[in-house]
Amino acid sequence: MTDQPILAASGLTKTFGSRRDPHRAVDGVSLAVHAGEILGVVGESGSGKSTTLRCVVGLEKPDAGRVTYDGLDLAGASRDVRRRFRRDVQMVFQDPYASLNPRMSVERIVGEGLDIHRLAATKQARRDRVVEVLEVVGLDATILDRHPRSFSGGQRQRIAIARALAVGPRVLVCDEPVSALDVSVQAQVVNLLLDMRERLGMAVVFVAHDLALVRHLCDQLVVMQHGVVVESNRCADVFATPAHDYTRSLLAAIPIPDPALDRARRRRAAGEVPA
Amino acid sequence: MKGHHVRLDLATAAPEAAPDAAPRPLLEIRGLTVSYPGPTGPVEIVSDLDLTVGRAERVAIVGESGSGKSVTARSLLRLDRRATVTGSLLLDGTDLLALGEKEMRSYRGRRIALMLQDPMTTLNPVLTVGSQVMEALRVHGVGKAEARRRAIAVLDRLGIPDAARRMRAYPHEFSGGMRQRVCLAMAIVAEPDLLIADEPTTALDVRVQEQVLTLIDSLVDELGMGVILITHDLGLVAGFAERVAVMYAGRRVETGAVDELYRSPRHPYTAGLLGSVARVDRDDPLRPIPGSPVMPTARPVGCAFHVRCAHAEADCGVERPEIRLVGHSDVACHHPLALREGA
Repeated sequence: MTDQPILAASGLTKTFGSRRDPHRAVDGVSLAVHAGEILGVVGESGSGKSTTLRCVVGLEKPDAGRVTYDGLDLAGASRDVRRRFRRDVQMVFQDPYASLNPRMSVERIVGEGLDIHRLAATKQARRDRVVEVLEVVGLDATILDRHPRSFSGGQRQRIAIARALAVGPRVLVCDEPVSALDVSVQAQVVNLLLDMRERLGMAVVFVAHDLALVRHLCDQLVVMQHGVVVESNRCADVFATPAHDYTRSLLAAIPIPDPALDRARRRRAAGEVPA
Repeated sequence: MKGHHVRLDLATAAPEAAPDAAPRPLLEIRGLTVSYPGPTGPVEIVSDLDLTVGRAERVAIVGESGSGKSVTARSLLRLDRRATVTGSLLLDGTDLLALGEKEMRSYRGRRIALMLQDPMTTLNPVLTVGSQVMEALRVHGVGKAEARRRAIAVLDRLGIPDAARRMRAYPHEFSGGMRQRVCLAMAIVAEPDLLIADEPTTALDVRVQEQVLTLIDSLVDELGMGVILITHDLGLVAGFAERVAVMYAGRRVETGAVDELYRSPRHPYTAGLLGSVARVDRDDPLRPIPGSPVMPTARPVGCAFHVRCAHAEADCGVERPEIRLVGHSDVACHHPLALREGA
């Protein structure tokens, strides 16, 4: 890991709504992710984590703040740098039922980025690359001609991840990538992300509300509340010694899949926070 | 919550609610089978389900997509006209399946109530919150003033600040957690004997999730209500339920007391679900179950789980295992897992 983050944001601010009734969704948020690192972003609904992510990848234009890629400010960057950014930073969305075009075959969905960034010289090269990334996510060449409707949620999310991987990104930005999936399938996708970090040295930004999963997956953690970062630290440290009251209250509410421990936790929580 | 005795209006409780009088369980499901018409004939979603729920008992039904857990919930209220439901559903000894539609209507909400996952689709956006909570009483003939009084009492009990004024608010003016409280209020305002909560906390943030479960807990303690909580996440109910039924492909594969079931799961699917859940108190690697849950139209022959099961042997793909007692749990498996050491 080098000191320079691959992707960083500082002072991001984004306001929605009218001038008379503004809602500041993101207020001065900074974060950074290094190569081979998994950065978790947690917070409750409305805390601004998705908007932050969308500003970072350029799907939303922040009112203030800057995003740097390899230390270069994207706002003033050349077309070349911005094109490279769009190739190197790929996104996986929450709902695999909404994020795949139902009219396109798996080969077209996964190969589209290769065409856009001119990464495959021939049809055969394109197909080879598509098959290669499908295999990375545990699928194979037999599904090339099929359409999204014939796949389960977990398979669709794998296809979405394969699409993101096809162009050889350095950063994968995932917005609640497993919350729409069955529990047994969630674990498959999480292990896949860990494996890709291991094998490809990829950086991952992972937004989720399942804190136990975040602890399992992430190296660094950013905790957001009301559009503001309240805590940012090594993930293990946040869980061991949370610095902010809000973080502590989040951690206290995480269920433990052990009856005796969870009953004790719930009794403690009930004692601390009278309803 | 405990020792915090703000009670619901018990003076107006249904007169037939006489807890502790009957030795029989509150709910006894026997051989419940539910099928829906499909393009090529009826599709069986739930098969031969047995389950009992006692008064003041918290039972969790755990299963993934296609397990039939939500269809089970809906069948208990006979909500789907298209469904063919057989078996018996004895609520306090009365078979719900034998009731006429008019009688059934008098049971819904008053004796047995359903709380759904998504408050956005449960609540009517153009009616005030108050009128929707009151409706659950009005349909059972409770007068307007009385219904209003009880609705306010319930909303207040569930921690909606300034409940009397908030009665006039519309669902969009509430946060997600507050909306879920309104759904819970609608379900319990008529003080049902049995509450069925279908993924009541899935869309919620972890702290709100905790609050909703705690509210349900206190209602069980104070009113003796039985609860069936339906979820896909075994991680959620460890500290809530007393008993857990795990469903796979329309069948119950394991039922047991919560402590035994978590300590030493006997069905490989239950063990797989537990291995798939990240634990905040431990660093064990996740051990997911390979493959995906099967759909009702494509259930494998024999044990439906055998195609994903690491312990499957030849007989698993041939003959469907019947439920039998293994240790302290009911298990449907030819080769149940051994008792874990220390369990």
